Amino acid sequence: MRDQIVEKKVTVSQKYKKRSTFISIWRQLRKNKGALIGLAMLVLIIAIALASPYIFDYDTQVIANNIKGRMQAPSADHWFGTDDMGRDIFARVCYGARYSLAVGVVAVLFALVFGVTWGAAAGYIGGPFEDITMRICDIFSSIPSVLMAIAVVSALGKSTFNLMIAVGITSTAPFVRVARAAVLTIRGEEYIESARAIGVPEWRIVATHIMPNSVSQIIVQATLRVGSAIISAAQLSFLGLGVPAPAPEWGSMLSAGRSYIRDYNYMTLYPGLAIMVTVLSLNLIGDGLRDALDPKLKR
Amino acid sequence: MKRTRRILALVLCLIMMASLFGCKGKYAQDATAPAAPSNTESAATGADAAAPSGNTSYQDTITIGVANDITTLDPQGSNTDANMMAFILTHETLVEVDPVTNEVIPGMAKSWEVSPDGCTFTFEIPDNVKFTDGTPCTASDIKFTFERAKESSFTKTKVELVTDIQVVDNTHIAITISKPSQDFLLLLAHQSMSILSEKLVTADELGCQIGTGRYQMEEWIPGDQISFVRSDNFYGKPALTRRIVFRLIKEESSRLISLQTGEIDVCIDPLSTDLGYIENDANLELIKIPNYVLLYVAMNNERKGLDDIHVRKAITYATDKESMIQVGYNGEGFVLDHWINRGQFGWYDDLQPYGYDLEKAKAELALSPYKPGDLKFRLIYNGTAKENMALVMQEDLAEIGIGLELIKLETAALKGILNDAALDYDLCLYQFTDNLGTDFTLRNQFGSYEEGGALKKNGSNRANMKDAAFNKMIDDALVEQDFAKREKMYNDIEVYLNDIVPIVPVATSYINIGIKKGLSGVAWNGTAKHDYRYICLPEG
Amino acid sequence: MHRYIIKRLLMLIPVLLCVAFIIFAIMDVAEGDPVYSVVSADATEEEIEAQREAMGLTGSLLERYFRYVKGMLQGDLGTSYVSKRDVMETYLTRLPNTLKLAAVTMAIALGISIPLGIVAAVNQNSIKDTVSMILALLGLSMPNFWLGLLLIIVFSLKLGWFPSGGYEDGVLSIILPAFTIGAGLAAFMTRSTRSSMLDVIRQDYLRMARAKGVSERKVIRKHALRNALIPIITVFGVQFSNVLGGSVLAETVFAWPGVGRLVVDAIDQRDIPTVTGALVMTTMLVTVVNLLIDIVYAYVDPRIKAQYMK
Repeated sequence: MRDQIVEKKVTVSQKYKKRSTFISIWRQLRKNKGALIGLAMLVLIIAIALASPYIFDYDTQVIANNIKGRMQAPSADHWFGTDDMGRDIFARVCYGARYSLAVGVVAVLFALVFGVTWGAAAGYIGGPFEDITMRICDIFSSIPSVLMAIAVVSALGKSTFNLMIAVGITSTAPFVRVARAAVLTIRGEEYIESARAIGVPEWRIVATHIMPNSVSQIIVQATLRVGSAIISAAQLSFLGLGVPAPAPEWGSMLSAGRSYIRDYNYMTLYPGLAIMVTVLSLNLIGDGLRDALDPKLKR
Repeated sequence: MKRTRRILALVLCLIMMASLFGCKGKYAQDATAPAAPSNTESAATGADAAAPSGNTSYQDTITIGVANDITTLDPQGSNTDANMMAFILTHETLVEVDPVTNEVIPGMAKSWEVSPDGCTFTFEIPDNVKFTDGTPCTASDIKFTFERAKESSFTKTKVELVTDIQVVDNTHIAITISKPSQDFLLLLAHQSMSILSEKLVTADELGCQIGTGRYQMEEWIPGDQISFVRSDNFYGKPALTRRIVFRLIKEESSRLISLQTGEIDVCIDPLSTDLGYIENDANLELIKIPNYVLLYVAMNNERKGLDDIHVRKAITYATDKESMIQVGYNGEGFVLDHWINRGQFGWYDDLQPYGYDLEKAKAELALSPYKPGDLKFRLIYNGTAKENMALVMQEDLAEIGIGLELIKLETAALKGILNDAALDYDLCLYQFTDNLGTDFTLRNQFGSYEEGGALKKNGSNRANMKDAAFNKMIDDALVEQDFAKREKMYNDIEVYLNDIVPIVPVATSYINIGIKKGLSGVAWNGTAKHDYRYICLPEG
Repeated sequence: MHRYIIKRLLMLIPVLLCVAFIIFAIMDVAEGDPVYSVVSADATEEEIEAQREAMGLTGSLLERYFRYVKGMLQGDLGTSYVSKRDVMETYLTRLPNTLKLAAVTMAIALGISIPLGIVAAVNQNSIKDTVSMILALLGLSMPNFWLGLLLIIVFSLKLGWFPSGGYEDGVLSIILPAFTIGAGLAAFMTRSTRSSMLDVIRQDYLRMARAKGVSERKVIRKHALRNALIPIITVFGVQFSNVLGGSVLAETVFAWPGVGRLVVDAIDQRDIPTVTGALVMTTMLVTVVNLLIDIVYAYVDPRIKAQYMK
């Protein structure tokens, strides 16, 4: 009887807390002009990504070669010009949003799920397991992430999935850290102790009491990480280790354009601009979220 | 405590600042040296450069911007042309091939005699040949070199016919081969057959870096550059340029910009879209020569599907060579329909090319047991140019109902798969350098040999073709002494291969080189293995 | 304090062994037998076996790893498959180039970020602040290799001020690659300078100084900046690994013969000893730099020291 009451109380307070956080996040975010601009940009980019299969036919407009019409300057027919295989750069840049967003989001999701579970476990269990976890994090942060990702892709082979894995692996450590730190700050809190005292299973304590408290930090971290994951993926593609041809990935488009940089610089201009705008929107949102969530940073 | 902490922080900042300014200072000093960009080196060492050859003075150092790094300084340790280019400078071969006439001319050997049966070659070398470190070179060093060549997988095919090597005296050596070969001397002219010193190689593994050439290696910084300086011990006329540097600049456009700014004197392989910059620059000159590199689509003839002649013909008809040249070489190349290269002995003018014809391709596929949609192959390749070509093939083959999965590999991984005994590949975009005569081209690309009752493919036979009838045809042609008969035999071989299409020949390209006006003395070579021994750039 | 340093140094050893193992294992997964990329197509079985032996490719992953570690502890990183040169020697010829680039990058980043961050913090919420922050955000969002390409288009091809690659022109050729890497770093550090300045600027002792009539300029220069610099330096240390990593792309774009390109080229050639050796050495460098910063920090902040003395 007593058990139930305590548990119920905790759940209610959690629920109340959760709702109020999201509302206050939105209130804060609404005040932040930068974040709103970022949000608008991101919505537009996602819309383009979702709509592009209906606007462009992949087989005939995005990957079909047109050798006679190669390297045409931007015109009414080809807004961004055509590339070295005669493909319309505008169509490819639009379609490329699908690849970049997918790679960024999946890689970060991978890192998030894996890293948060691991970090929370480390923080909760403590002891040697925690020590080893933190050392492994140190190791991963001291290998330059680009080199690490290059090694992973070249070992696993070139494919979109392996690219996601490689980028995911290199962005895992920050999530482990955040989750562990979040768990540490509340590990000793009274309501956790009491939940444990009344025999709530350990996994449930972590899942229902501890994790919701670190959600805000994880969201901020994830938003910012998607941006850097998109850049990492583009970097790998630029080095020829990313999404295989002829898929219109922004990094590999840049890589193709590099040889023609002297006379056909529009081949390099637009895909790069697309990366920048996407990452910028994510950074704006991430900054806004962080300010909204962390009152200390509010100025 | 707080005070100490602040002081420490300040000290720390100062150290960091100081170190940064320190660095900056250093660069500032560095900057004074290259203030006059291009010719600083020649100005600095100009005094001793003025020494050789009479009135004209020559630029002291010539820098060549190259795309590929040297990988080894052992002539017998590779077959790569980038390496061979260095050995032309540092080493010598017994005989050489005249780049214009393709005839065999004297190298280190002043002269040679062939026995009446065509099997024994007696070479005479001058009595004053020295290695660049001063060690004398005698006939026994030649014997040592060729015996060492049998041990290396890169050179053993070149000496496999050799049965006996006799040192007659210090300046004479007799080499006997098992059967008369019209192309044996051509093989000896390859730089991997450069003469090494027995004494130096036995003493030190790096001894093979030293040859009897006009230059000696000065410094090699892998991934960056390799430099050569004129040797004082060369027995003939000394070279005109004191120092030659091969600088690795992988990016095509950077390489050309370096030539335009005068940082380098020769730019190998500029981007084909950038050639206009060379032509329009009053200080530069464009050299354009046909390549000896045959680009082809290898088809693994033992794979299911590819073992069917109609499938191979269908793929051949569906190969749009013109477009591939457009996207891969920016149009700088020729369509290749033959099995040997232009200018090679036995080229058959009346050979019937397949041409690009999707309707015929569909018709051929209909003759095979496979229906459109049945076949799916993996095409492996390396590099951006070949990727673009592969994309063209993918689209055309999809038209006729053959699926193509494109797999871009790192250079080493590609070589690894091709050389692996498992031969785990279907199609591959690859190339073959044909500079050693018709027999070499045909035998290596399509030949096989018997071992344990079964035929095994030769190393470069990427078609994995094992055809005893073909082997007999090339063996017969090799020993035929009658010129006209031999030519007819090679013509027939071209027709034979054209009927069975073991591979799809695609293209040969141009080699483009940008040079500073006035630069001369280079024997530009279609294998991209240029001979820089006599390079010079008059000053002023 | 000595015990702390020794403890940290000892902790370095398992870290490096782990790094070596991770890289070793990753490269082992790679498709294709490295031996075939070295021997000629005409090699016989025996030659291939002999070559495998010479390349140290015999035995299980663990056996090879222990052999490698044994060599590594004696300063031997093995021999390159391709150039047949000592990996340590090759690495050491490349390292100065990368360090030069890193130093100039850091100088550029500091030179931009500290003034910009201070201006932004001092004039909080003004137009100056907004402009600085927008610039910083743009810098953070720009893929650095793309920035490199844009710089080439503008400053090499259009204006002809700087070379587009190579490193022969001394100070001229280092500027574009250093700026390419430095821009992102500067953006990051501008933001952290601004926020640590904001933290400091309202402290009581500064208010006190102002009250005493010390000029605002002097307050900023003498008091605020000095205190704000410490967190900035930490950020700086943490970013060192990113500078080394980020230089891979810049080195590729600008044909800069540093460590990053060494690794990228070695991966293309499946030159496993070079890849492993260069990554292990780079990680060691990053770890040592971080250790140095930690030690300096521990001197500065007794709380950290106490934590490790336990």
